[in-house]
Amino acid sequence: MTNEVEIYRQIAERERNSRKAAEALLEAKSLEIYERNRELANTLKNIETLNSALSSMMHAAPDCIITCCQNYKITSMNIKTEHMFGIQEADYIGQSIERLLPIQEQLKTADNASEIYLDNIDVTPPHGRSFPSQIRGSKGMGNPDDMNSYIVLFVHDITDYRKSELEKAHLLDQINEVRRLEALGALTSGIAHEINTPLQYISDNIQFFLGALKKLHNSLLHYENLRQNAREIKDLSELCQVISDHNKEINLRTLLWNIYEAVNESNDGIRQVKDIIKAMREFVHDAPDNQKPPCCVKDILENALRLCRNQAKNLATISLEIEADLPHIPCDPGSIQQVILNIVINALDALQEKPQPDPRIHIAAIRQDDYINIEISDTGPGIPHKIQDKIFDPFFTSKAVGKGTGQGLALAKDIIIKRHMGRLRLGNREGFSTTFVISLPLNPEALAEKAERQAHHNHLKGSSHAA
Amino acid sequence: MFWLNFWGVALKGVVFTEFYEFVETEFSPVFLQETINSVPLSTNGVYTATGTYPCQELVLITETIAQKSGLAMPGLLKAFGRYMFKYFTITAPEHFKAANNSYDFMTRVENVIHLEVRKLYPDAELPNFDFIERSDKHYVMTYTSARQLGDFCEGLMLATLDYYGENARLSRRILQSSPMTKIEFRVDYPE
Repeated sequence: MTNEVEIYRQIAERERNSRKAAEALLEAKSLEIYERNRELANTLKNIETLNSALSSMMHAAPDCIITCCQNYKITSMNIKTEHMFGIQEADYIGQSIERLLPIQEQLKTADNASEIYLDNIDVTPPHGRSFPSQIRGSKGMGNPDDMNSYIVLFVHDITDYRKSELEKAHLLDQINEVRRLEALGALTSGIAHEINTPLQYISDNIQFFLGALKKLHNSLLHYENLRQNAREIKDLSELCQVISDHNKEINLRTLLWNIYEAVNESNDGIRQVKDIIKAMREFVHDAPDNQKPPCCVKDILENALRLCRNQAKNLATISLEIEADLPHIPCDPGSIQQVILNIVINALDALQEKPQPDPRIHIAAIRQDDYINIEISDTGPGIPHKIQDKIFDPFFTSKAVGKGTGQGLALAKDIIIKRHMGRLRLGNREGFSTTFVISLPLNPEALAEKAERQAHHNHLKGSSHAA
Repeated sequence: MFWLNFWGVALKGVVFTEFYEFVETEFSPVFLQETINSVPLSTNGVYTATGTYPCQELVLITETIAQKSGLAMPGLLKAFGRYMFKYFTITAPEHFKAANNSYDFMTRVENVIHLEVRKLYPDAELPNFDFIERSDKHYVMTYTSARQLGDFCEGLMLATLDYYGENARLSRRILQSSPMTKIEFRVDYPE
């Protein structure tokens, strides 16, 4: 009996110990759960922070970001997407990606866990402007219905890129055109030099022909006098009659006159060719900046017109109005001639492109104080107001590719302002739609000194104010 | 699914507490306490259902009970298997309802329950069930384990056949004893 009581006591003791062990285990488990909860809370906080950062990045991204599940249903989009597509995210969640981007077929054919790269995809948003795009992204792995298996798409608007590519191509065309013209200039210079030498002896020979012709004419007059007197002499009358018949037959007087006219015309022609060659050589020849001899404005203008006379034929009437007794101006005649030629050719191009009822170009040279103004006016279509402040920019041209380099007026501005301390601007002349005014200083050195003095004065004034 | 960890190195306390209940029911509380008193146990025989304890202690207690009662170990473990089965039907009835017969249930143990146990206890040394043959008349499976608990498994299988009302004959054949136990169980249905 005592033994059995002892056994029951032991059973009770074991049960008590089991309870205590269970309580200790419970406490340990509670502590463990508490710690796990705390870790979980921290993890959750980290996930929220990460989520918030991710969300901020997504919404601050400059590109459209769209995510969708593997069955191509949209699951989220950023603010940029809403703006670019003119939509609200809520209206498109669960909708097919095809409603925004025409790429579902490409996505289907892309391998899982692969990168997506689609270039030049034209996107037409439900609301908003259409735009070309470059789409990058990744296709995840997993169950097609699993909303956590994302396809992430970055849609980059390449409108500006395409525009800049076009501009680059256009610029390249213009640079090639400039190079071509540069080569042509060098070639022209060489040709002018080569032509000049034979031209010189042709000219000399023609001069010789003219002189010789005069002498032969005088000799002929003497022979004629002899023939007149000799025909009365019986033995010579028959011979004189033969000469007279021959002279009549070849119309000697007219023949001589025609020979004289022909040689004279050839002489004029050669002179003209020489003038053109001279003008061409001056045109392509850049005088050093410190060598600006006094030049006649009339000669410069006439040389320039000589070079474009043929081009102006049938297109416009060119008139020249030069004030009497204009003083010479120190300049590089070739480059000034180049500027004038450029402006005149621009006017001719405009008249050719848009013919006008009364096509005229008028060039006037007048003195205004310490400047000589050269005004070039035309009755072409005029320069639209909105591009007037751009026409002197390098590479700006309103002409078709291959036609204009966009360099002419920019170079003109450089030549007139930087190299001659002059001015180049748009002006007005009654009866004409466009007028360019070139102002060249009569005394650029004095002008430079004056500018220097002014700069020095301004500097001192600035210093004293500062003090 | 904790009960399946029974076969692992460590044993869930619920197996010990259920075993205690089994011994108290089949024998007496005094007999159990006397048995515990006679076995050197690191835990002093104190177990809670939610704790985890060395499997070896259950083996020691079972061996002592066999000696004291004069019963054979296999019969004792088989009887405990049947007893434990009731506990499983009460605590995890969904698995029994999910199967229509013993074969389905045994395959479910291998293919579903063991997979879930491994998720919870990656280090658990679970027995392996391989299904060798099956026809309308019979099926054959093998039990492979690091523990020598083939008798306990047989008790569970017999209880399973009873649960699904299958009038079948269960026979076993030991294929390997060491280091792993491998036993073939064959279930035959009468003509």
